[in-house]
Amino acid sequence: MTTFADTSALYALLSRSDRSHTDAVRAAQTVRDQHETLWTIDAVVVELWRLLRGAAGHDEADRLIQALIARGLDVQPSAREDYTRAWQLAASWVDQDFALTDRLAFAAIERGRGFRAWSYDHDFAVIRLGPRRERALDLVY
Amino acid sequence: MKLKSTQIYLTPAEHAALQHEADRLGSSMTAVIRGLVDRYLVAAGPATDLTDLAGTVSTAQPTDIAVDKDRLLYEDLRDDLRRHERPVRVAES
Repeated sequence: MTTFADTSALYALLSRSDRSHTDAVRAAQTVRDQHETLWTIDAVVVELWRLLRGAAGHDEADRLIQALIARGLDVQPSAREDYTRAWQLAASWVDQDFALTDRLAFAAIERGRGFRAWSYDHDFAVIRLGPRRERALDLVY
Repeated sequence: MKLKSTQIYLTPAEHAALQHEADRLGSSMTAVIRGLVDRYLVAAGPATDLTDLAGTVSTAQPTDIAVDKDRLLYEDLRDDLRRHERPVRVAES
């Protein structure tokens, strides 16, 4: 099984000062115990690196991103059509303020690796995918 | 993307389920099958184990990344700009 990992989930796991840390540790243990593969997109990694740099410095941010990848976090590039979908999502969810990173994540999830996602970001609970906006994400907490 | 043709036989129930999923996603049955193969066979790499990295970072102030992310990213950007500040040079006339 594959699960998309959002910035909030990875940061909450790494930072013991974060409110969602305990939940994130439990989720990471579930991922390990169920032999799941975590995947994400480049935009999330860049966002996470910036958060880690702010929290722990440039070198530690580099080290932690390398460590995540070395432990099996699969980082995928965004496809060109993901950007097209991101603009569509902005147009069809005018009452929301989804960041581009989140919309690229939604597009990549919709494109085909399953609807399971690990996130503490409220936007991941709000989004509905598919042409009729009826498919909620299967969230891991 | 180069594609190879194949033929599969489905039970009526499997066919109906596949058609339903394709209709729901606004996609084709072929695309749904490719997605399932990718999800369960191609993309399923080795299991991910991040547990030993848990709690390797701590901050002076507690955070709630679920709601603070944009603020923290802004602060990182602001600090980055400060780190790269250059003195303004005014050309003498």
